[in-house]
Amino acid sequence: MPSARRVGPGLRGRVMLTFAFGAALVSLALAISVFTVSRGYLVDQRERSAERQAGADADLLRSRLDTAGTYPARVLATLDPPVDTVLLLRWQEDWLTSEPGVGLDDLPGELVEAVESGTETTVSVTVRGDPYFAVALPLAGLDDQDAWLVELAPVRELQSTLRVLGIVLVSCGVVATLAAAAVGLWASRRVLRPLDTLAGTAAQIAGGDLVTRLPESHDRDLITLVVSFNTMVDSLQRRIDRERRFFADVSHELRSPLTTLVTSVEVMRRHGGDLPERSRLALGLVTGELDHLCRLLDDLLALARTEAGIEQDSPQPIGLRELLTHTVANSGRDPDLLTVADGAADSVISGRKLALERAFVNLMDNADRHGGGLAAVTVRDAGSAVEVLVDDAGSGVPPEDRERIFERFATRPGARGSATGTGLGLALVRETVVQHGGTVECVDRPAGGARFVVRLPLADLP
Amino acid sequence: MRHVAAKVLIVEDDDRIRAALRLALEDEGYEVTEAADAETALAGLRRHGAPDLMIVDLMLGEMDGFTCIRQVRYEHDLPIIVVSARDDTHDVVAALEAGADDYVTKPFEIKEITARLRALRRRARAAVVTEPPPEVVLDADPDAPLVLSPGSGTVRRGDDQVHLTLTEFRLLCELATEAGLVLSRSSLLEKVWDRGFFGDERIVDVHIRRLRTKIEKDPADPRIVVTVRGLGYRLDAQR
Repeated sequence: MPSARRVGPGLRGRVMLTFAFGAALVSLALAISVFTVSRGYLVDQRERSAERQAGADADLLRSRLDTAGTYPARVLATLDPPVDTVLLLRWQEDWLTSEPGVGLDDLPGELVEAVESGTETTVSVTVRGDPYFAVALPLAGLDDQDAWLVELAPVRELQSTLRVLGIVLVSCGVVATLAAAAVGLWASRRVLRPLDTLAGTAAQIAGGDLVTRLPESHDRDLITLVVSFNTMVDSLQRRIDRERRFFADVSHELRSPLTTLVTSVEVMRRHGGDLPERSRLALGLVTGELDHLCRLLDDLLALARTEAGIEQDSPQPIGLRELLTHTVANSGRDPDLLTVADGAADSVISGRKLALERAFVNLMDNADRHGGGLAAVTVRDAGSAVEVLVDDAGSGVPPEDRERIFERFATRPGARGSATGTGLGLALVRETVVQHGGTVECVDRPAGGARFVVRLPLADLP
Repeated sequence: MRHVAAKVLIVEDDDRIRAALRLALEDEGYEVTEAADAETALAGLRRHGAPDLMIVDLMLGEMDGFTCIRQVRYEHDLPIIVVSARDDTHDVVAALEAGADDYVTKPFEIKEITARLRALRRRARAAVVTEPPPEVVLDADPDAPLVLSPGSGTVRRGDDQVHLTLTEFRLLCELATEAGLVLSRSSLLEKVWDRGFFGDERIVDVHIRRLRTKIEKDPADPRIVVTVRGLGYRLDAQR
């Protein structure tokens, strides 16, 4: 039964989420490693090509400086570095540049320091907002000259390549995750199909169809479940069969002698005029007790049967107005006691006619025996249900007894002997009403006395 | 006015119940014969002919009540009431299927039994009092017309007589008098069995089923006595 408790995503949802989560995790790990490796490789490549280029430029510069002598600025201009590459030459104390926009001020301090202290180095730098690899090399072999070449090789292209690679990897990850979720959904549907069969079968069995079994399975993972389930239903059916047989036997063993008794007593009563006074009085007692015994057996068997779910007839659509009209009339009561409210005139419930008749007769008998007489029976509309109110003219039921009176043999103290109830009437009422998906309770009647409210769900009309 | 006492045969294995029933029914003016088991009852029927009514217990000795009823039904159409201490739903239906007309569960009051007996015998008396109604053609098939003669109490298919039990015959008559109209199960229970709103409607269903096997060309696809879902039954005379 669905309760107010929050319902989780369900098996299917969980399988789907697991698949998606797994795929996301794998994609992420894969993406990170692919990206890291590719990045390392590409950066390494770019660094080495920058160093090679710088080495070549340094050689060229040195040979030209050897021949052209003291005009380094002019020599620097004759070099033809790749696009966007900037060359800086430290000549004695001066810094010369191939690109007028870039000067010493643009170089990071550590690079300048490395050059000043005479350390060859390759570092990543950002100059005027653009990323470069800076390669610093001494121009060895020039006499007494302290000359260094700093070549700034652009890495903007490398970075945009890496960005594209990242986007591709992330997209692939997202697509893989979605695909895994879809596969998970499909797989869960497929894998859980036997579960659907199981749920359907279980519902059928819960609905009373005990002949249904799960189809045999050769699936190693399902075979235990299928076998246990079917065994369980088998034993349930055996138990119900056993109970049914037991009730039939008890009913036979008790009813046969009662039949002889009832019939013989009836014959004696018919010839009551022939009997002496004292025998007639005794016969009156026997008749009364016999009647009580018959009703007790009837109620007891009906209650046991209702509790065991062994039904005499199958549910059918019943017009409540018709049912109660007949119930009131059949039990020899005044038809005017019944009132049907306008909204409830056509109320149809799904139920067992005989069981409901017995329940309502019990309620009316109860009103007559313990409640100072039946005062009114009212049928009224209550939304998706219909309510039958059975009112009596007694002194009401104290609040602490309102649950207890529905228990078996819960007759009030001193009732035995004076009243003729079996003590099972209200228990049977409750059992019957509950089996019909309804409720019954005892409340105060506004005009005084007790009111029994039977609430039964309306039938789902097609 | 004295009328001839109706003969009742009680088939019951419990001596005491049988004796008590005999006392009670004799008080009610019936002429009672007894049989302690099915074999004796069937032998008695062969020797002395059929009584007017039978009361049969379901739990008998060798041969059970169901078989006994089936055997009686081969030859006789008298009303049979089953008395059972088991109100197990399968038993009741099985007894009706076997050919019983009605049932009473133990312990019964003698009033109940006599009411059932009276209801099942009502037709015989009614036929004497009222004007015999005209014949009804239920199926106008030129080769084998099905004709109901309420007056003579017979149903004929062509030249052959269709053997119906008294109860089946009365059920058919009730449907025929309201031909074309739907009769609810409870109104049929009231008219034929003298049971009201809370009577067991399976009695009607089983009898309709038995009636169909006798008068319909294809009982699985009934044309004359049709079921109106949720409402009851209707007789459609075939033109």
